[in-house]
Amino acid sequence: MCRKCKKTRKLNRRLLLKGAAAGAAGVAISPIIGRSPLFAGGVGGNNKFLIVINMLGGNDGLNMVIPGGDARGAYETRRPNIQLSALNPDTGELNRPTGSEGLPLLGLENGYDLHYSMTGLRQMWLNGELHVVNKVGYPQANLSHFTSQDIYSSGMREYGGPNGDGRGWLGRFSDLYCSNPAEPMGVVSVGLGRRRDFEGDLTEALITNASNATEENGGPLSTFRVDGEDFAYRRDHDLRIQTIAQALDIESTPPTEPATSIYTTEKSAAGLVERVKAGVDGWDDPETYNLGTSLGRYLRGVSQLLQGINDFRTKVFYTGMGGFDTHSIQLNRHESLMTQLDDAVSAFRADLVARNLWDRCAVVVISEFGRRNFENGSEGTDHGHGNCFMVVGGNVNGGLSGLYQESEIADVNQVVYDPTKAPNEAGGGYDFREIYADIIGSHLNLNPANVFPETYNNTGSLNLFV
Amino acid sequence: MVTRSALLVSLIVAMALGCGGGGGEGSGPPQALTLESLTVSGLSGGAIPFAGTGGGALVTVRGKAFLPGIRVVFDNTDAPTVNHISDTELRVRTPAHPQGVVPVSLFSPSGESTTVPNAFEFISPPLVITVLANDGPTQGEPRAAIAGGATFTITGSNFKFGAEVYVNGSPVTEAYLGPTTMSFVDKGNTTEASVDVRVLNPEGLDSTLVAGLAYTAEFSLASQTGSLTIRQATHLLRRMGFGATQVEINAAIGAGTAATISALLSYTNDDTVEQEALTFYGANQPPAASIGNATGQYWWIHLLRHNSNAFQERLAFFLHDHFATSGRDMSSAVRWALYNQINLFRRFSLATDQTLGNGDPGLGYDWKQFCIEIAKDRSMLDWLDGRLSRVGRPNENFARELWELFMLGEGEGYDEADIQEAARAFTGFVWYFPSGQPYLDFTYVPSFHDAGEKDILGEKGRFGYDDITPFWNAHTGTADPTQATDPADTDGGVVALTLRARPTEASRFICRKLATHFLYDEPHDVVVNELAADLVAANWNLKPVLQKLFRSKAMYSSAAIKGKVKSPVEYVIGFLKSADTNLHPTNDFLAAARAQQRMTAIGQVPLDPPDVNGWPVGTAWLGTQTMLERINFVNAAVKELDSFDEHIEPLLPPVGQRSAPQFVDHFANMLDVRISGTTRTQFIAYVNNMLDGSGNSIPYDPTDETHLITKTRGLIYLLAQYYNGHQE
Repeated sequence: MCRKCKKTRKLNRRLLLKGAAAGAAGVAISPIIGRSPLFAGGVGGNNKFLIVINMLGGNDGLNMVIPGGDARGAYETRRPNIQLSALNPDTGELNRPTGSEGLPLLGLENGYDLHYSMTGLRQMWLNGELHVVNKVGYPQANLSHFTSQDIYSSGMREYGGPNGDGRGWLGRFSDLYCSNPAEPMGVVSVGLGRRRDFEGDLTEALITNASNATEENGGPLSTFRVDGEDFAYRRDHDLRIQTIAQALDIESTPPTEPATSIYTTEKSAAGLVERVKAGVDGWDDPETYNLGTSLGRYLRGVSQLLQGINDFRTKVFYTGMGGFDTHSIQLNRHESLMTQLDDAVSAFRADLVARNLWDRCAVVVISEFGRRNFENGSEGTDHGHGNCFMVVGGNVNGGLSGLYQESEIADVNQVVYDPTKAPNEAGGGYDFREIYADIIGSHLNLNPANVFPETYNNTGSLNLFV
Repeated sequence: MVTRSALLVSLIVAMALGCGGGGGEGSGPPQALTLESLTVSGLSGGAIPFAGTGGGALVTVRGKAFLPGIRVVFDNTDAPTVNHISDTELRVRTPAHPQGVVPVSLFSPSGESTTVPNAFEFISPPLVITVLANDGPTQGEPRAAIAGGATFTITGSNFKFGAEVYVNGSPVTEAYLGPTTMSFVDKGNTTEASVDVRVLNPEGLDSTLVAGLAYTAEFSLASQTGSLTIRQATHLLRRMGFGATQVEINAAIGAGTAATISALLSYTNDDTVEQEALTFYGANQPPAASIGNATGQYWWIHLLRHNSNAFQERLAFFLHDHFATSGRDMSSAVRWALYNQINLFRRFSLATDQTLGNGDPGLGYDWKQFCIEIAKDRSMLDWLDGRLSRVGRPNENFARELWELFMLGEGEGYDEADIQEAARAFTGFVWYFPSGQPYLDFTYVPSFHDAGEKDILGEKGRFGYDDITPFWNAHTGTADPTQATDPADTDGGVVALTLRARPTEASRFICRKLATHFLYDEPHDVVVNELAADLVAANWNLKPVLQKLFRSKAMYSSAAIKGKVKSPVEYVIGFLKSADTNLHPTNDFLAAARAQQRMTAIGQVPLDPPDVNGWPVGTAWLGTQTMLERINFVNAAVKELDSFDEHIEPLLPPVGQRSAPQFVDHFANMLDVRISGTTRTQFIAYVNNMLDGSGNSIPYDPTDETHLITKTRGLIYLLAQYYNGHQE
């Protein structure tokens, strides 16, 4: 069945649950149900926050963090034209695109290296602020982008099965910890739209774009507004805005989808315009972000929202970038992607350090799967199993987890990194939910238990935070 | 027909009761208070008169010496009403009382009283709690397909052997399964409706679940009969062509369902509108090097908005979403190929004896031929790396997405080994520069193709592309001789093999996608499978399938009408078409460019899908900021309505029908936005509240042009952003 059909299957659930709740309580967002008594005062936890950066398309983790030890030789053999560490026997030079000739890899530990363009992240490594986790996945890996993204978004391997609840992991998180209607910005999406990750029963994520607007024009969040009318109609326009606000206010929530969701979104948008404006007004543009890249723009948007963080009490910002499906000619493309990621995260770090927010921040860099250990005939890589995650932040416990075994990289078949096996076994790995759970528990100081209702293997050994 | 229930009502069985109290039975004058009989309307059969424990049954009491003000007491509870008819007759309502046989007493204001022991019985009536389908497409729901035939289970209490079931007043074939469960086979209904379900116990006590069963037409592919209502016509033209003007809607109502749909499905290509849009490319008409992606977007937006063959563009946009190819990161020297791909989509619904303005022939809805063409479409060869796949070094990208996203659905009838084998078949194309030209084209090189035996979907053979017909070289107007049918592929191609080896999966996949797009989200298997069987029977021609779909009762069901969330393109193009306006009054290019900017802000613009899976559906379209961007688009559009004569007057209701309520209703109809009563009141108040230059409220004057311009702009703005305005 196509992803869209799976995706829309949740509509009925929403219709039943939200429709029923709306009928009973009059509003779709209940202030009471689902709020943890532990954190009944509001969003709960501490004042820290998380940024999720999703590299859509399946990032080539093996070329972002290059394996060391025994696995290094296998890596070089299996990827003659795209490996980044040894001289190419045909050319006698390192495999580098024009302009990057001879650039050295950046050392981590145990013989592992970082992509040669990631100088900013290397510095974070040296500061002890970067933790790399290799061999991250979930049981019975799936090679479809869309199925795999759905698994990551839902936080469930069997999201369509009898235990699937149609919610995303951040929807469950938000239902648990951000359901206070007075603080509706617990989860904010910047630039990637309404992803399945945010689908909750009680809460709606705030979904923003992030424009290129300059400081004079109000910054990236300045387009989060209702435009005005021509001069002659300005008074009437004010009347229009009053009229629609009153109409939506008097009206009860329509009981059936899609009207319920549209109405809720519209009311939420109208209610947040002034609040967002007030929170981000007088923004100070750090001018360090590369606005030519989507991730630079989006993280700049996060930065502007962080102006109001104490008021908004946002726990999770979700953003990312596309283009990682490097089936062909990947040296150039992947270098560009790694550079964009490194530039954006580095600018973000500098910005947050200057605002004294870096110690409150954790960034997790994810992707739906990695790529094969061997290259294909197009100097690219096809879909593979398992991947490399990075966690960065002021309180991150720097390190490298998940060392590859030689056989994992040398295997001519695709290796499956199955987290039901221990990470130090061949073909074992970490379940992605262990990383999220550690962030929720150790960084945000909230209980991750009900965010991931499906049983998964948690080694408990990562200790991503100081 | 006379039902048993009606017969029961007409039966009155009088029952003599023994005398009691201080009175004596005799022929003398009625001196003493006497209770002679109790008769309950509509109920009979017990040894003594009875009624339900809930109370409220009408009982006729006969006797003697009844005086006004007499009390009638069942056990210890007074009858809530006592109607004194005469000194020998009372009509009373029973009180609520637990089950059991009880005495009945009369207390006369004269002080006399009489009690008859064991005079009346309270019996627990049946109670219907739920009515749920056991099987069929509504299994587990209190809904029924209008076609009928499903078995339903009634759960409740106090059902008795011999009980009967009535649906919407008519008896159905029931089965008694015990005191808490009955079942029946539903007979169906001609239209969508909510109906009552009633259980009648043999003694005559009954229970009705009001609106216990909702009939839905969403599963019915039978043809809709009767003429089109304005709502149905608006819906049909919206689904088949984004939206329509009042004139077009009225024409559709006049022509009727079948003729309207036939005309939309079969049309003559409009070369003129194509020529208008092509001028946007200026001197760099495709193929040319360095065509910007935005130019292609403007080109198509103009066609989406202005092509009178609305379905040609609507179906092409569906195919663009399905075979989602983005020009964003495409090499500019090859981006012209995307223009050809969109035209391939535009040719799909064009009859085979027709051509586009550029000479490319129609495909007449042939899904098989279309999939063969898309497999070697030039922008697809670039987008999914087909041009880089060589013998010995196959690239899996296209083979995987061909099945997962284009033809079968993820994991439906194939596995990873099939993908790797199919990737071998899709080898052999490369980029090349046509001699002396600055743009890139593709050519097939037989020596780059893996002509060996493959094992795909359970068949072994030397499969390749379905055919490598010479590419039409659009620049030179000649066929390239290096691209000839490869004799190495003796066993045909992967596309034909897929349809041959997996007809069920392949037909259901595309039919599910079509039904999701044109009917409603999450179409049921019964709908999908019926359409799929038709597609296979029609030898992969989609025209009869689409015809059936658009004519079906499902198309006009409440699930379909306004059942989807408008995508940004549907919202923008639909608004411009139904309000018959543009984002620039005279300059088509600027109008298209502005629409492109608005679509980008709202989150969807042609030629730039997020990935090969295309755009989201359903509530995934709803975002906080994109909702504001939708409102801001409408604001920008109404700003173009500034000339009374040119823009406003054509939109207005006739003179004399411009009162505030008429004004609101007129524009609500025009935009097909249904508003609630409270909101209508608010909007009427808004029209009546005209502000002068100092901000003072003055009466709305329907003859004043300034008032009409102001309120036309305002009402369109309000209606389009109202939540129903986002429902497709």
